[in-house]
Amino acid sequence: MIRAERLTKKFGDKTAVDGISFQVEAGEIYGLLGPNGAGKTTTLSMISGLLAPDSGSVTFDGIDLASDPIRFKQRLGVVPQDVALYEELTAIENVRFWGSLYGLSGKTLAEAAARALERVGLTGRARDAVKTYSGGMKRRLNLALGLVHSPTAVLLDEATAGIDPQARASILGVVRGIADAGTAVIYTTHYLEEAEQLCDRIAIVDHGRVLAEGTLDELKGRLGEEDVVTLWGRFEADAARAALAPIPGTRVLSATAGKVALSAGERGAAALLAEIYDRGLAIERVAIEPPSLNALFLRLTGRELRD
Amino acid sequence: MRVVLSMVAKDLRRRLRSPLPTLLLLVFPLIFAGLIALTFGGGEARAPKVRLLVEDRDGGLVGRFLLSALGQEEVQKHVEMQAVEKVGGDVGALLERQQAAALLRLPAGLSADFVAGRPARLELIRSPAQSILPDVAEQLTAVMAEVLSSAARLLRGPLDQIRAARLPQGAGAGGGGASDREVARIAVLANGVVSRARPYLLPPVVQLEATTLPAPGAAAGPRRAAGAPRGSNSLFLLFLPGISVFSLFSLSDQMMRDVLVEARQKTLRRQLAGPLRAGRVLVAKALATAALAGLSLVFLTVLGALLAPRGVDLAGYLLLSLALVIATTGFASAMYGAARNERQGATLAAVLSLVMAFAGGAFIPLDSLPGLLRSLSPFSLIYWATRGYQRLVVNGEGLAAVLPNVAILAGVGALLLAVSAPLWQRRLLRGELQ
Repeated sequence: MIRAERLTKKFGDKTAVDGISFQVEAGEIYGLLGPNGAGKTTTLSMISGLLAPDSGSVTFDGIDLASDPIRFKQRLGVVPQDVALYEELTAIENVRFWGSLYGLSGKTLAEAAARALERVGLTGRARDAVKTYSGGMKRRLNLALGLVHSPTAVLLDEATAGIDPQARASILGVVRGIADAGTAVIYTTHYLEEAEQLCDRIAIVDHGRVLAEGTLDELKGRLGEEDVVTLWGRFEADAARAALAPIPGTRVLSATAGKVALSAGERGAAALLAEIYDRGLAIERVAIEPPSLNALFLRLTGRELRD
Repeated sequence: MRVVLSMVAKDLRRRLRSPLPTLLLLVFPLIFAGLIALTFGGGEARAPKVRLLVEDRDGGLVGRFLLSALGQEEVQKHVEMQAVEKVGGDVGALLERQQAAALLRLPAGLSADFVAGRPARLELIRSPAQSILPDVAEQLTAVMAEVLSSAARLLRGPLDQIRAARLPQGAGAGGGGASDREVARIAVLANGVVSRARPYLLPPVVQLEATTLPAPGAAAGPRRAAGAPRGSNSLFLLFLPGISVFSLFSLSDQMMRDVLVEARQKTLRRQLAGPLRAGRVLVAKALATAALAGLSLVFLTVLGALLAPRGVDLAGYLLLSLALVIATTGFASAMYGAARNERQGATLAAVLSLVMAFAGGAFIPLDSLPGLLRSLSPFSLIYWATRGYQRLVVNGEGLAAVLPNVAILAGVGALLLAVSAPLWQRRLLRGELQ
């Protein structure tokens, strides 16, 4: 089990991570969901020992990262956001090198390297130079390097950034597979769909803080059955806010020039829309969204995860 | 240790897969030294001829003598003489058009003045478009003027007789009033003067012995071992060590720069996330640098031995090479450890390496360097390495001769490594390399 307690990191005046705590059990996929700059990567950097936290601690099955970093890291697999590979080398040479850093050698290393490549479906291209790989293949190899030493916990930072849906599905399948095999996974992403599809528990993170945490159902439960209504039109933010805020049972979640989002409340979206049209706003388009992580993020932060 | 060796192997393998930069640096010294040897070491190359225009306004005995002298086979090897008609216009334009170094003008009445013993004057107009060759032309003309002056004094008697015989001005131009008998008598008289002067003039009173200076750093006195290379071959060997040493510094520079390249490519960050101490990564990189420098030295040595075989003191060569590897690694480590970023480090290393190469006599022989640069030589690591190799390879000296070089290279290299280690450590701890 990995436990992070009150992790804090500042860069100058800016607080990148502000007292984040969580724990992840074996076989569990724990998602850190938040927009770019929310503090997800900084959190993972502290857990992987690359950054020393200003305060807080990380333990892994009772091993404290600060006091025994080598033993801690030995059990950990790291898959960074950037594709960190040696492009001049072949896939098998890359995997063997990274495996050797974790103390594997000889036959054990060869078998582990072959297994890692097989897991990500690259056995057929094992002896090709990485520079000949597509973006998706590099991402898969990037994942294989973090798994070659069979870690008991894996940190994946935006592991599917910038790849096609097919490669993404392949990577998500591998991650699910290693979790099913008992590995604890911490997975950061800013893709709602990934978090919803993959993660057993999710922490919604923004400005270095955990805003909400729980299973997908638990998080959606926090929204109740409320739909989120989004309106686009020719209006100013203040005018929209002034017009819509007085409607009973609803709440304006966000308002910008030409776009406003509000919770439908218990009356439902249809009743709300009738009332909105009576308010005289020049509305051009309407969207109604059922309870979702994005709606929750919108409610918690006043902005959309995609912004 | 196994992990460190694995990292070293990885770096060498990467070099092997992208060999062009390394190969270029290895081939560079051979090409450069070869070009220098071909340019200055003989073979097909020849010094350029002095092209001299001669305008003979005199048309008499002296003019013919001078033209005849310049037409001698030996002189023609170095001087290309061309007679021109009376130049009335722009001499400079003519010189430029003819690509000549100078115009020698023989004034009207020169022969008459010469025969009469009156002061005469030769006029040399130098081309402003050339730098060295006009100097040569001036020296040549000065020698000819000196010869004419000496001849005028020596042959005073016969010349007076020629004058008395009322040879027309422009003597010899069209025959004259002297009979064959009289001409023969004057010739015998002139021959007698020359014969009497022969013991003083013709035996070499002063002998010129030309010799080629030994290579910089060689023991006093020219020494050439049996079977030793000559000409362009020895020049090749003279320049090869210095340029090779410079190349090794550049190779080491590339390898240590790789720390920052890996930081940019995020592979360093990934390594540091593994169960390693940061120092091991740096040790591995330094070892890879040393290994590549060592392999490159072996390559250059083998190639150098094939192209210009020499017997060298093996112990001295190996020890000096080891010291050089330490020096190049330490230098590169210090440059990139101190630099704020990859570009700054590359610039710093390139500039300092070039200064060390010039001051160390890698490109230009030390004797040809200006005094200021020569005074900097002992502060150049390339100087100590180059001098060491020249002593071993060119001069055929032994281990004892290069021990100071070994001590300085290894000592300074180790010192630079020791100084740079905390610099790297500090950067790693600050997260600058992630």
